[in-house]
Amino acid sequence: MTSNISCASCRELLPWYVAETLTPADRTAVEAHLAGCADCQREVAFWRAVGETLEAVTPEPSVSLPEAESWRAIQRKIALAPILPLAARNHAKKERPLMSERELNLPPAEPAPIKSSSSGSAQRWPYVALVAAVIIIGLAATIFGVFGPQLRQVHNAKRAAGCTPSAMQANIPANATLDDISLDSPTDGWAVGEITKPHGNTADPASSGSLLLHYQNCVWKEAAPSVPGVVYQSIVMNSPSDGWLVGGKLFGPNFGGFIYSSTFLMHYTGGRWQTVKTKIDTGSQGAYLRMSGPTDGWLLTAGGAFWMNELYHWQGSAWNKVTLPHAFQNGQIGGLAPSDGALWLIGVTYDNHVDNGSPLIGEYANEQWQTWELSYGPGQMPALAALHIDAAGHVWVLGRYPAPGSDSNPQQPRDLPYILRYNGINFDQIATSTTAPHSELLFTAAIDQPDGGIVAIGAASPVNASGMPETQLNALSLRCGPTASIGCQFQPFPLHNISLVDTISMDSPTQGFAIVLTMGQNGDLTSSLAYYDAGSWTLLRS
Amino acid sequence: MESDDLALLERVAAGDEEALRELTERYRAPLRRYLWRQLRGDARAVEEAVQDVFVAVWRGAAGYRGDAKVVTWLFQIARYLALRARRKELRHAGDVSLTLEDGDERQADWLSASYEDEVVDRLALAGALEQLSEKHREALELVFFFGFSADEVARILETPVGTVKSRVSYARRALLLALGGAPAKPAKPAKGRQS
Repeated sequence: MTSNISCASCRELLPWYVAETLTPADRTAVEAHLAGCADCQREVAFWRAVGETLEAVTPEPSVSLPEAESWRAIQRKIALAPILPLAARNHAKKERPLMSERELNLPPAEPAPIKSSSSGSAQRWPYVALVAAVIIIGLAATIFGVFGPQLRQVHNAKRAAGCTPSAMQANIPANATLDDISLDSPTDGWAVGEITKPHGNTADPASSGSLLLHYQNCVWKEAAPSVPGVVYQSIVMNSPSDGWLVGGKLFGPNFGGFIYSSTFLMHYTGGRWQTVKTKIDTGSQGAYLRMSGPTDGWLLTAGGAFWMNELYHWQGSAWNKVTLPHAFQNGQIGGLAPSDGALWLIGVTYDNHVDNGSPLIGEYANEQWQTWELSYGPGQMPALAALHIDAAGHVWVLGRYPAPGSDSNPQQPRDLPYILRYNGINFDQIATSTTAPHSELLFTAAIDQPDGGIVAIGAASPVNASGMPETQLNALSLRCGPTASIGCQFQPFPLHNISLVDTISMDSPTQGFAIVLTMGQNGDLTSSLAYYDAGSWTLLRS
Repeated sequence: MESDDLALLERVAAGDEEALRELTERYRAPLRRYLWRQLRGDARAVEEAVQDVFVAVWRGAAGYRGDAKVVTWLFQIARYLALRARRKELRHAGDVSLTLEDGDERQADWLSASYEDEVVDRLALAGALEQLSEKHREALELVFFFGFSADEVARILETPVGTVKSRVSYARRALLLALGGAPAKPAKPAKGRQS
């Protein structure tokens, strides 16, 4: 008996015939052909053997987290607005996607005005339920001061004034991730991060080591040997002879296989880095440091025991704890910026049962907190990603909100910029252009412009032909202001092949360095340094 | 099952956490199994990715277009997340695989060698499966282990159906090569790599 499909057509269908996933019509055709074809019958035997063997050899995954705890972790995540957490900007950067987890399709939303503001001391904040005590265990051990290298500055800087961008060089070791950068003068600066062993076990703390770069004589290069099991997360230089660095000593794997770190501080004074003994709480998800001067500094340790964030204030003699409002204690803090003795914070509340995580802005001044909580409907929450205080003292909040697809691609929801500027009493939302063709949008920093406006810097992921977000990111910029009525417009980012412009440190109103990420052909991201000069960018050669 | 899945997804889109939990219970195990190999048995990364699949479902359920089965969508998201998580490993992806090149689907019917003897030895077959390149192995797993149709595999892998069939065909050739039963030469030599 013969059938009307060929051996070739039959064999093409046989894997699915054996797997029993053919349509009835295809199945009938295959069976008719098989009845008269011994060769194809042998082919069926082959695929059966393959299917059965595959079943037998496919490994049963080991469980890293009990089901109930896995579900609680999911609950935590869905409670958070899609924001790049502080942790992702610190040592966890390699292990987390740069983009948010938000995926594929989102309900359309239009931005709504800020609903209300609240003010007063921390005690007047509405209570937000504590995160269930499931996230972190065993973080009691603190080892501040007992480890950490005594870093010695090898030589005094011989200042080289007037480096041209083409003369600048960045000797960044292989497999390095830069997390923070700080310029203390046009010719002197530091950057910190980590070096990860290639093919290293990500659950092994020793697979990561510290990285400290120093910029002198037009060259960025390593200033100290890498210390295994230690990462440097944030750095601020107040002057060439005074600076602070915060790092984490990794330990784990712990609950769920995650690596945690205990926070330590180092002070650069007298030409050397030395560990400072202090009673700061551990920050398992990283730590962040910002200062407005030698006697005004702020340290945030993120996600310590029970996901609690802690804030410390340096006023010249000690790091003293400042009580965070409850919502900031438990939420994710996306940025902090000091200004004239005050501190600004942005983040998102974490409360599973009340409001599913609202974007939040806070100002701490005169020992009082004032906060603004943004109120939007489900699926419409903006995510706040970066804070910028311009030279005139205006506070800018950079973020994004989920929006419907564009006219040319209505099926693909996308992010649009969500830009706020503080008017001294409340926040104005700045209108932005709506031609964005990307599905994910992320702002990381901003640079003042001579006219009083800013250029917001970040990255976006484009949408491919089949409507799916690309895995790659492309750097972009948005020109805002100088007045609110002018709004913001996208403008091309002048450097090609840059995936993300991360932290920027300016050493003058118009010049500075930025940590940038470039994506290789294989999709791996590499930290590099770029020089900014009045609107032009130069990627430093290595 | 699919109608149940759709009903669950509708509830998820309406903000019903319990529905998401049911979906999680239903598909956590197969997703973990799929991601286990995709993420090289890194239990932490697998757990993180599985969680993120359902976070993505939570955030995207309202926009689910229904042009693929719910389970296909879940695997599509899982693969996307796995690719992102593996970005740093991609350059080493070919280290342990056979060096067969994909051709186009017109070359699917080239093998005429005898192979009865080889398939008898399941141990050898297990070894041959271990030597398959990741993408060939992934295609076979999606077909046989997870039971997806050719169209569904194509959707998950974001590739044309013809390429899926081509990958399965080349997986077969690679298996036979590894088993020692060298097949007859293809009708025309494969040129270049096709994704």
